[in-house]
Amino acid sequence: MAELKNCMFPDELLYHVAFNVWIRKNDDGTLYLGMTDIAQSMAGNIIHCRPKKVGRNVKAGKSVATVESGKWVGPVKTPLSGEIVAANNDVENDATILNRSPYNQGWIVRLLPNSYDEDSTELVSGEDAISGFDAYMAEKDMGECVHCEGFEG
Amino acid sequence: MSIYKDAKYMDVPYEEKLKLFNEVKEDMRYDYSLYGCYECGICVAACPSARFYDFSPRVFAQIMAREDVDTFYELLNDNVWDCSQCYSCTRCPRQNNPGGIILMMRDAAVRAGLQSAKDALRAYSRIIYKVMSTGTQVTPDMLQPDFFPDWGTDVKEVAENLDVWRRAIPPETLHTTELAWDVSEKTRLELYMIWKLTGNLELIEGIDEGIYMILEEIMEELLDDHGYDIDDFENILEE
Amino acid sequence: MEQAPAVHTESKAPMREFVRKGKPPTEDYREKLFELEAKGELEVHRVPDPIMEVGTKYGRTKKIPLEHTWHHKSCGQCGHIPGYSTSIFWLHRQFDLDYFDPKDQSSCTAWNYYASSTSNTAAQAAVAARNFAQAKLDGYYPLIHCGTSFGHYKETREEIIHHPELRDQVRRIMDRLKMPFVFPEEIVHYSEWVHAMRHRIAERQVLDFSDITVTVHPACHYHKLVVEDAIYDRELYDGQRTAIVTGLVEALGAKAADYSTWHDCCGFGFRHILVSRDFSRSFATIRKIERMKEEADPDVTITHDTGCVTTLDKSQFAVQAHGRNVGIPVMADSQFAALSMGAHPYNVCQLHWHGVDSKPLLEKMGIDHVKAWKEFEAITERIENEEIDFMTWEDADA
Repeated sequence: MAELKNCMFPDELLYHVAFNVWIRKNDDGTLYLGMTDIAQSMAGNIIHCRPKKVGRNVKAGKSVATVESGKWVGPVKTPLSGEIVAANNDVENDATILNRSPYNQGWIVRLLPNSYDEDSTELVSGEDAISGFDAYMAEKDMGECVHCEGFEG
Repeated sequence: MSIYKDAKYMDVPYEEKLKLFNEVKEDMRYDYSLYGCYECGICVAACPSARFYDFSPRVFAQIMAREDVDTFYELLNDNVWDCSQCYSCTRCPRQNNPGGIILMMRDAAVRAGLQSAKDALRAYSRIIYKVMSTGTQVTPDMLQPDFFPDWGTDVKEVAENLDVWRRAIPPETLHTTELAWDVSEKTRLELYMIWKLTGNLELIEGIDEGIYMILEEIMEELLDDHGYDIDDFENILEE
Repeated sequence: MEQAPAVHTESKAPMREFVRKGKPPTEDYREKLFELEAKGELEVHRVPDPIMEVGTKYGRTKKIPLEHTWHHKSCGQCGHIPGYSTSIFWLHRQFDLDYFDPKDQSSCTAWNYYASSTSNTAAQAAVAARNFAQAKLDGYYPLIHCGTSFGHYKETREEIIHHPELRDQVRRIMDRLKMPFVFPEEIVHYSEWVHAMRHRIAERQVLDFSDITVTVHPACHYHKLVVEDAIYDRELYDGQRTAIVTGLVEALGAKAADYSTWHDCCGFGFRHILVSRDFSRSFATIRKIERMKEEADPDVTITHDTGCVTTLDKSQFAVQAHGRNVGIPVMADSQFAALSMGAHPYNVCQLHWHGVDSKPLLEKMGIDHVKAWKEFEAITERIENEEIDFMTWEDADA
C-alpha cells in the first residue's frame, strides 16, 4: 500500500489520475472501478452514490455513477468504454462505504470493457500513479487526505 | 477608462468587454432597471452587502449610466457576486434597480463562462444539480454537520434522525429526504423539457462540466422512459 | 455673557396624517392581464370565492382567496423547516377549508436565478407558467408559501405583461408541454391569507399572548420586489410600513415591539447562506438580532419567509463564540398562529428543526414542552419499531 500525504493507494491497482478512479482487473475480463482515497476525501461525507443501471453501455470519459456529499455532487467517470455488468448495491444503500473502504467494499461498478487496449493508455500504476496524484493534489491545492469514517482499505 | 487607479483586466481586449456590456444593455429588463443616477447613496445605505463587502450598488448604477466599459468588466468579475439580491436598493428615488442590473450582469458572466463566475459557483454545484434534476433546491439531506457545522449542534441531531423525523411530519408530501417534497415524475419531465427548450441545460455546461454530464444523463433517461427523444427539444430561444 | 433663551417647539409629528392623494403611480397589473386575455394571449385564472379584500401600498385592493387553494410549497420550508409548511396546512384544516397539496409542483426555481444566474427569463417564466397551468388543471388557486417565490412571480408577471416576445416563448413552451398558458389574477402569499384570517384565528385562540413581546421582520422579497403589491393598512404603522405579520401579532394580543433596523434585510443572500455564511451570519446578528435584543428584548421574532427564518435562526449559534448578544427564538407567523390555537409544538410546529431554543418561549406561552416532547417521541418510537409508517394528521392532534 503506497501512501502520499495521508492518501492511500493499493499497489496492485491501476489508476486514472484526472478522473480520480482506480481499476482492478479480474480474470474473467471484467474490471472493478471505484473512487480513489483522494476523491472520497475531496467529497467529504458521502450521502448518496447512484451507479448506472446494469446493462448500460458507457463510453470512455462518461459517467458510471453520480456521487453526492453535503457540499458536492459529481460524476464518477470511466476511462474505458464498456458494458456495466454489475453495480454495487451496498454502496447505494450506505454511501459512507465509499469513505471508509474506497478500494474494497467501495467498488462502484463492474465493467466489461470493449476496447481495453485503446482506452487503457492513460492508466498508470506504481510510481507513475503516485507522482501523477502528487501533481494533481498540488494543482487542486489539496493538503492531505481526510478519513472521516476511518480507513479500512 | 476605469475609475480605479489600479484598474484590473486591462489586458482583456476591449471588444470582449464591450460585447458583454452590450448584452446587459440589450437585456429586456434593462429599460426599466436604470433611469439615471444622481448619486444620492440611498441604495448604499439600505444595502446589507455594502456593510460587509467592498461593494456599492451605486457604483453599478453609475458605471452603467456612464457606459464605463472597463470598470463594468472589473465589477463583472470581482464584485457582482457580493450582492445579496434583497432589492433594498429599490428604495431608489429614481426607481432604479441596481440589484436588477447586477442580475443581468451575472447572467452575462455565466453565459460567457467567465472563470470568476465558475469560481463563485463552484461550492454551489449541488444546488444546481438538485434544482434542475428534482425541481427543489434545498433538501433535507443537505442538513449534514460537515456542511453546516456553524448552524449548531442540532444539525447533527437532525442528520442522525433524518429518516425517522421526516416520517414524523403530518403532510404526506413531506415524507422525503432527498428532495424537499414528493415531486411527481410528470413535473420533473416537464421541467426537463423546459430546461432543454430554453437552453438552460447547455448553460450549465459552461459552468460545471461534471454537473452538466450528470444532468444530461438523468434527463435523457427520464425522457426516454416516457418515449421522448431529448434531441427533439431544441433551444427555441436561438430561433 | 447671557445664554440665549431655550426655544421649545412642539413636535407636529403626532398630528401628521398620511393621506394618499391622486391616482396610484403604477399601472394596475390586473387590468393589463385582462387586456391580454381579451386579445387571446393567455388565460387569467380568477380568484375563487370566498375572498377577503385587503389594501395594498398605493390604495388599490387585492383579493385574497380564503379556500380552494393550491399550495405552492417552498423548498427551504419543506426541506429544512417542515413545521412551517405543516402549520400552514394545519391552520387550513382547523377551519375545515378546502385546499390541495400537490405533487405536480416544482419550486419556483428562483435559486437558479437570484443565487446563481444559471437560468434565463424564458426558463423562469415557463416554470411559473407550468405551475400556474397545473393549478388551474387541478381546479385550485395558487397560494404561494415562499416569500422569494412570491417576489419572483411578481417580477415574472411584469415581464410577461410588458414583453410580447417573452409571452410568445412561453406559449410555445406550454404548447410543447401540452398545457395552457395561464396566469393568476393575483399572486397571493400565504402570509396574506394569514393576515386575512387573523381575526378568525384570534377567535379560536386558546393561549394568552398578552405577555409575549414580538419583533417582526418583514421579508425583503415580500415588500421590496414590485413594491406596490404588498399589504398596507392605515391602522398599522399609519400605512407607512407593510402591515403583514404585524397585523397577526396584534390580533393575537401580543406586543409588536419596534426596533431601529426593522427595514433591514436579514442577510440571507441565497448563495451567501450556503457558501459565504460569514456575511449572512454577521449581518443577521449585528444588524438584526442584537438590535432587537438591545432595543426590544423580544420573546420571539416572527417573520414570514423561509430564508428569513433560516438566516435569523441559524445565525445565532456560531456567534456565541464571540460573546454576541443573541438568543431569540425565530418562527413563522403560521407557526405562531398555530401555537396560539393550541397546535402541538413538535407534531405540528416541528420546533425541533429550529436552532435557537424555544423552550423558554413555550413556557411563557403556558405550553408543557416536556410532555409535548414525550408525545412526539412516542410517535417516533412507533415509527422506528415499524408499527406505523408515518405520523398522520390524527396522530399530530391526538
